[in-house]
Amino acid sequence: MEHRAKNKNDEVENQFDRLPDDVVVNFFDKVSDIKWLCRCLVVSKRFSSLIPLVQAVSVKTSAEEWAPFPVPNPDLVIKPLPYLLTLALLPPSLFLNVPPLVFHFKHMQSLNLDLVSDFNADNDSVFKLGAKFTSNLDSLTFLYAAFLSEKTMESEQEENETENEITQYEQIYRVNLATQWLKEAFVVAGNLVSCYPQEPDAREHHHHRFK
Amino acid sequence: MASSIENNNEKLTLKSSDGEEFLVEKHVALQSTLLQNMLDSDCSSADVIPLPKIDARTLALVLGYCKKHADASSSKQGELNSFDSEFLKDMDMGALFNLVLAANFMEIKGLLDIAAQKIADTIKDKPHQEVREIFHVENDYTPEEEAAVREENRWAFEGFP
Repeated sequence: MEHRAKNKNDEVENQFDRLPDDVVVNFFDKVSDIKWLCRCLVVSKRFSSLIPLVQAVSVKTSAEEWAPFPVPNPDLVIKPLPYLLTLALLPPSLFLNVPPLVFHFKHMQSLNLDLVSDFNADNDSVFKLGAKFTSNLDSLTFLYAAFLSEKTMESEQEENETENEITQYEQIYRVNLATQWLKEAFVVAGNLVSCYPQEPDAREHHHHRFK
Repeated sequence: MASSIENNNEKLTLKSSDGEEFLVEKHVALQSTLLQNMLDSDCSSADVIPLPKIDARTLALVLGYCKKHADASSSKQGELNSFDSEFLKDMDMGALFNLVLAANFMEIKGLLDIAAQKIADTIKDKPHQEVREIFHVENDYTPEEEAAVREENRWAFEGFP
């Protein structure tokens, strides 16, 4: 009866083979992070056939992954909302670092977009974009860190003083970053609305066992 | 207040795949949606409920979880959380997957959630080669296919083995 842990290849079975598809997909839903999901595609064919069935996807970006943009002159005060309105929504592919795989998730019901700050030691997200789907994009939620609204208001009041050890330079940098991210978030949202779910899925024929 | 507890004091007997019988209080069994539905629809008139897919070792673990959660439902959530994380700690993958199967079959959502989370966390931290080893997943790609999938998702492998 008692097997030593010694037994290797022949006797040890693939743990996932014991589980039905929906239970395995549940694991991937909890993995959620798109980068890890993409890495998992390489594990096995079953993994790669089940991963596109996930319902919850998270995209985490970090500031380093984004094209650097010029840090503005510290004397300049940026007003985020007016600035945002002047931005044309560029074709997403030019701007976005969101992998195309996102648009293959035909069963996706929620997308969390974390736009991670590079200036916060604890890796807090500056913005979180949450989208929930039914057959269409259903709702869209922007969440953002509290410090941002404070800084935004301060900058709109054209406050000149340095406060709480944050220099005005940093403050403007943050607002600028945040504004950039908000724009990206809008582009992601626009992209999702146009791509999901009308766009035929180029991979779908590989996954014939799903409806 | 106290009367509902007293009324729920009946017990039922569960039988594992390897023939061991477990006497379970009804309010503990109610943690399982499967058992709850059986009790609701009066299928429980049978003396013993067989669970042919669950061995005794796993069933004992499952019932331990159910008892803790049934008894503690009115007590502190923090205590339950630390119980949950201790519960799965150091559990080998075979036992963990047994638990997932049992929780899925018996429809115990909380248990399924924490076990699935643990497996997800394990997947998430490892290179794919290691994921294969840990879970004994056979690589059924040809080297060419694997290279193609990897190339397609090249961005995700940057700075990764």
